[in-house]
Amino acid sequence: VIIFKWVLVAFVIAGTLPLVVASYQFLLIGLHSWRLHYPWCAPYQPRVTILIPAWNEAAVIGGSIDRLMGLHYPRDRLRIVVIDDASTDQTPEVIAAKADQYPGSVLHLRREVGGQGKAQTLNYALSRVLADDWMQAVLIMDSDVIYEPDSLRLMTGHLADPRVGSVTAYIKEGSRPGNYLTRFIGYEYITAQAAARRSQNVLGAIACLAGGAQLHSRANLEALGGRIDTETLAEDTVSTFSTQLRGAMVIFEPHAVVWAEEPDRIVGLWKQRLRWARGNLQVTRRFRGVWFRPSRRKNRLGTVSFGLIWFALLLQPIFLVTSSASLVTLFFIDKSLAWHAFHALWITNVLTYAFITSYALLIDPPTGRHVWREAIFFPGVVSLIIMLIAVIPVPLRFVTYHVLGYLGASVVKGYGAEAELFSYIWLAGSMVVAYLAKLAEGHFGGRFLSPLLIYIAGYGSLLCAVMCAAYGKELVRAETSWDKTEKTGKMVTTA
Amino acid sequence: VSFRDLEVERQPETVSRFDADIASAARYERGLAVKILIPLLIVAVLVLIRVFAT
Repeated sequence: VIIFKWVLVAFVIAGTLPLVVASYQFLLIGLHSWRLHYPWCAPYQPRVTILIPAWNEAAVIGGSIDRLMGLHYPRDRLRIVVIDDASTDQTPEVIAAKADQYPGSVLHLRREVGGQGKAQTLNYALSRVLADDWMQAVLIMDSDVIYEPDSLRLMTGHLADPRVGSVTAYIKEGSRPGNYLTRFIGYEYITAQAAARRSQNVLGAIACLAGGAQLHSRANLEALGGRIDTETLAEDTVSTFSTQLRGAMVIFEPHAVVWAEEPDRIVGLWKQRLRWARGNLQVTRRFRGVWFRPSRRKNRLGTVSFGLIWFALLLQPIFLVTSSASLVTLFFIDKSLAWHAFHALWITNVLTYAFITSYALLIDPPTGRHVWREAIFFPGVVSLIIMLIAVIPVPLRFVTYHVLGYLGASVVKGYGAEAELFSYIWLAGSMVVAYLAKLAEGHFGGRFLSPLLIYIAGYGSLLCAVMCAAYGKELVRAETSWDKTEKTGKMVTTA
Repeated sequence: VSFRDLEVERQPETVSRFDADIASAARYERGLAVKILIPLLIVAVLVLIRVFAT
């Protein structure tokens, strides 16, 4: 029984792993300035073909082309190829007008049969682009993203180093005024891109080239077989891994800023993230020979650090559910031990949350000023209260009893055990509440109820719920259809 | 000298703009390395609060 108890305690503490690994990533950022690739950069401005897959993008494609033509990059070294994936709206007319406006710079490729997904659409263009000697590098982007004027120039500078195969940029959420969900995504992108990818630069292993900002050298594309993977839902991650596995470097350029419009409704976000999560599970399976097998000479994908980072995120819901279940079991076996394990768990969570949140807001202060409330409420109100109790239990108990006593209530004392059990279940239960937010969105009152539930459960719990759904879909080998994220062109940027 | 070195821009205006970009980015990254002290300080304060609050 004693061994069983300590196994349960170990499972509880394992619940801190995702946040502890995230903190490790943030600590690595402190080393980024010593591991910059800039000494190997040069003012290299190759002939770049920009590929934009487009399906019914009439609302955004014209503006994107105009912005690209305004890049601080020699006009005669840029070609924009818009691959119209059998659009049924005004997209062909918009592209034709832009081709007339920028003769020789904008080309229209039309597929008469579309809907097979982004990778198939890109491959249709890549075979044609590679058949021509003009192109020295390819920039793959989405139709809605907006590049800051100096971003491409910053990215191509890295390609001066022949060891570099691909370069990616910092994608920022650009919806303005936006809503609670786009602000949560804005904060998430600081942590998942500006922070995580800096640390991956330090480790020498990048997890993913951002789908809207993938710059490949011609040599790299040819080495990859001249085509994008079509077998998974994460074609950008497959390209990233394949590039590094063949011994080429992938660089994240944090000062090349690209703005993207992200979903402002949970239903849209769920669809997008389910695709990403399933894609990551497929990538994990596909590259199963890579994990935790260090190969210093060729690539760094097999290092323990990178493996921990990858799996801590991928298995986060499992860690949370196991931790929660272990706490509940301990509660019925040994209440005191459960309480101590719970405290150790949440004190670790408080410290990592404080470290990650405060550093993230400092990494990108302009975005931080826009999303600081969502940064604070990222774990949700209930988890914040639990954290507060974990850090200052005695003064808080003193204040609570006095306030409640003053109000004539004494319910807290009577319901202590129930409150304790609730807080143990909450780690896993928050995912259910986040899922309810998705269900509520389409119903009467959902406009108010959904944001309320997300603030209560936390945006992180919503992402974990999506990951759980992805496990289920992959387990039953559900169909891998390509669900496009709707774009409306509501971005306001400084670009 | 690699193939790409031969194609690197040599125009003074391009080179100076490139140097300025790199200098600015490197300066920002050095600043981030120093800024890590702030969250570490916050964590230290929380540890102290926890120690003295129990």
